[in-house]
Amino acid sequence: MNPQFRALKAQIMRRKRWLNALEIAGDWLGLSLGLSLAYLLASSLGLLPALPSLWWLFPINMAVGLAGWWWGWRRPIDLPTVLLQIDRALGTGELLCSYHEFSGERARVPFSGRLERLVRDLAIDPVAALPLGRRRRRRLSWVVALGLGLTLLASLSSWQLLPSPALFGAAAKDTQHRQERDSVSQANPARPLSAAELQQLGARSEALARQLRISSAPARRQTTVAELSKLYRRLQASEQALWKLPAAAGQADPLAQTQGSSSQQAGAGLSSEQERARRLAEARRAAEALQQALSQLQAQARAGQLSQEELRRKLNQLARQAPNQALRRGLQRAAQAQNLQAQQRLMQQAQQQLQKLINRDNELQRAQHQIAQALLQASQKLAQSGQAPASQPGREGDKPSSGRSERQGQQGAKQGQKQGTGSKAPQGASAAAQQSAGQAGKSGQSGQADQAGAKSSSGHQAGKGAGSKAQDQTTQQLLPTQYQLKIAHDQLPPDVKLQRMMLGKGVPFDAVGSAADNDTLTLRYDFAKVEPLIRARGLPPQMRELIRQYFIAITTEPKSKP
Amino acid sequence: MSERDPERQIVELQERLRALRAEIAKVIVGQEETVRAITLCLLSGGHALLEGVPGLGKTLLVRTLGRILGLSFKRIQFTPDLMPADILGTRILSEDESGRRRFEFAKGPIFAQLLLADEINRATPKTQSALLEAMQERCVTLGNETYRLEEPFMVLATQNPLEMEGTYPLPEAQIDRFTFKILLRYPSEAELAVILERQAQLGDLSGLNSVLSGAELLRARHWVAQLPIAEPLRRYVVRLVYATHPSSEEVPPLIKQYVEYGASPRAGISLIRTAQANAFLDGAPNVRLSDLQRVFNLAFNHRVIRNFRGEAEGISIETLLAQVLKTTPEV
Repeated sequence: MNPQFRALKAQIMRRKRWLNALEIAGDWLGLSLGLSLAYLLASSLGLLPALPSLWWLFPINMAVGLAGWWWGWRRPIDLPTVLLQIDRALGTGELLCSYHEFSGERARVPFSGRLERLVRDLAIDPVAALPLGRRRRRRLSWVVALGLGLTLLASLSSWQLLPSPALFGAAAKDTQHRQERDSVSQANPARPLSAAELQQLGARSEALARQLRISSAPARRQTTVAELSKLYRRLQASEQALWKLPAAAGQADPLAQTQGSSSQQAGAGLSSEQERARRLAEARRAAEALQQALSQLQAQARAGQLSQEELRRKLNQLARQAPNQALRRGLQRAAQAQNLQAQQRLMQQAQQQLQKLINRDNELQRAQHQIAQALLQASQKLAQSGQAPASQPGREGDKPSSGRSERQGQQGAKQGQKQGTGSKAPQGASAAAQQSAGQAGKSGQSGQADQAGAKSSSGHQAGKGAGSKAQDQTTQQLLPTQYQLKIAHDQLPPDVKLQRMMLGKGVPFDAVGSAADNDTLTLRYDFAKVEPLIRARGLPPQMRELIRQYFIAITTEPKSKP
Repeated sequence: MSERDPERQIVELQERLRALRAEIAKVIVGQEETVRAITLCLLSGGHALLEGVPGLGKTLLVRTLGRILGLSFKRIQFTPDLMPADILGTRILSEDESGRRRFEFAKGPIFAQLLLADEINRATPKTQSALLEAMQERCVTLGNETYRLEEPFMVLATQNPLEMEGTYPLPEAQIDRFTFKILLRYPSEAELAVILERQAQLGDLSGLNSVLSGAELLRARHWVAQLPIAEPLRRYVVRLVYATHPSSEEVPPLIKQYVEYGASPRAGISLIRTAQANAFLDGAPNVRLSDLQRVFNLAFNHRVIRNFRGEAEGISIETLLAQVLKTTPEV
């Protein structure tokens, strides 16, 4: 074969590889740029998380383009076909592909000689022979357009010249959040934050975090982060203020200083207790009414006073009033039963379920009020044993009634424990406890023990003083004491569970019995382990004292021992 | 002709072939494409089926060709009562000088080098099939004896598209053995004027010169067969053949709708050989894409069978083949 033709073939191969590489790189890059633009749009609408910087898209796209180039370069080339393409493009009469095949060993005399002469006379320019082509040029122009578009959008976005749809409407919210922020920041930094302020702070933090997720403009993100830092510092200051509350004797009663906020907080705590108790009482009354209606229906059905249709209709009505899904389904099944016997059986089952529900509500109520009582007692004891008696008109008068209600409540609780069920006794206790709780709310006493442990107790001052020794002795006496509460474990509402957790935070208790054991759970507090744990927690002194006093309060009456 | 220099031989042959066409033109007015097609058939060693209305000079053309080539020429007028023995020959009882009688094979007209089978579709299929072996194998078998036909051997058959009544259409197997089916067109006004001017000399072949002998024709056939055709072009021929089959994957919609049977492999062979002949006639050292496209219609138009719908709707084979050529990728 003619060496010039060999060289020409090599040039043609190189050109073809270059075109293949360009084509594939262009296709891949075009796809990648298209996806990048789609991503840009989605992230600005908040549908996808934003990258730290849009400029990341450029190296990603470049990598895709380079990968496409490599892939195209490595594509196998069918030389005879390429030569034919060149022949067609240049109108050589298929000389190149014919000579490529019929030269050397496959030469066909005399035609190959003539072929060689003719091929030699051709001046083939591989670039002209294999042009880019209109189709390739069109596709590449799309790629260039997409690249320019992406560059423009990235630039505009980083210069914050593009309004992000996700931030539309943020202007109106900004004003509101600024006001909240101002109210939070203007609060006395030396005092702990109230529950309402904490809630505000929490809501604002959430909004800021959301903003951070969707916004990619660096300047805006910086502002958001700065604001979040301020809020965090405010929270830290509040916590430090809690720690710095004066505990030594002789100092002014911090209770007096924090009276306003703590009474608010106590009021908020106890009023939430009241609310819970009220809801429980309502639920119990509804359950009792349903029970009564069901009993009447059973009696009527037994006496044959109702037709099948009427009975079915009334059962469905009762089902609609059922407080929970299981009871509703039970009553619906009873309504759909085929005969009276089956209906009676199902109604009886529903009765049993209702009774269980009522019993559970009673227990819950009792537990609620016992907790409220304990809080009251603890705060009272602190006030009594504290440095500056925080005597307020309401409080003196409260004592006897509190004590009375406390005794009543405990008696009721004892009865409840003995009977295991019983709706009357806890009612008395609950009413009394509500009364005392309400009074305590007015007087602004404790309520903080049920919020975030004892930290937000708003500075109940329980320092070491004259009463502390006596208290220690009492504690020692009471160390082996245990506190027992029978309640259906799976029916504990979440807030009671939370209260129990917070009050018993750090205090180990053993759960005796399981859900299968008559559906009750016995909780036993082991006070022998309290002291070391309290010390180990590193709580401030006045908080330790509060907790200690609380446990003393709930176990004061010997009769309350199980 | 120079024996040593193949290139020179080729050049001389090409000149002779150009002279052949010029010589034919002395007798036949117009019909350049027909003459070229017949020449291509000659060079490729194939046979041609000429179709045209009566009076277009089909018989005169073949007679002229025979005269110019110096080949033995025979004409058979196909009629319904024609028998195979009338074509191939038969055994006759003869008596030698000593009076001994024996059977002798009397060769039929098929043993000519150039055979004109006039109105071939008027004979019965049995008679028509007598040509099959001769056209393909270049021999005739009678009884136990096989008689080779003298090369170059070419059958030029004619058929009249009119007068379909009382005719026997050629079976597909026989039609496939014709390299080309050449459709004779009606002469133009100018051509007709010239024909009428020469009417007195019509049929006078005495002034014709023999420009190419049989041996030279055979040599030309040899060089034509040597003409290189590149592999991409062979693949193109494959694509063309497959594009005529309705069951193929990438087929024009018209083929799918109107074609019953597509072209056979023999069609591809005919296409390549006649393309080589075309390139040779043009003096090219290799087969070109234009050669293939030029002879495509001639080589395929009698090999693509329309279905009933195609015939009923009057879709012409030329339309179908044009679609195939248009849609089949060259590269």
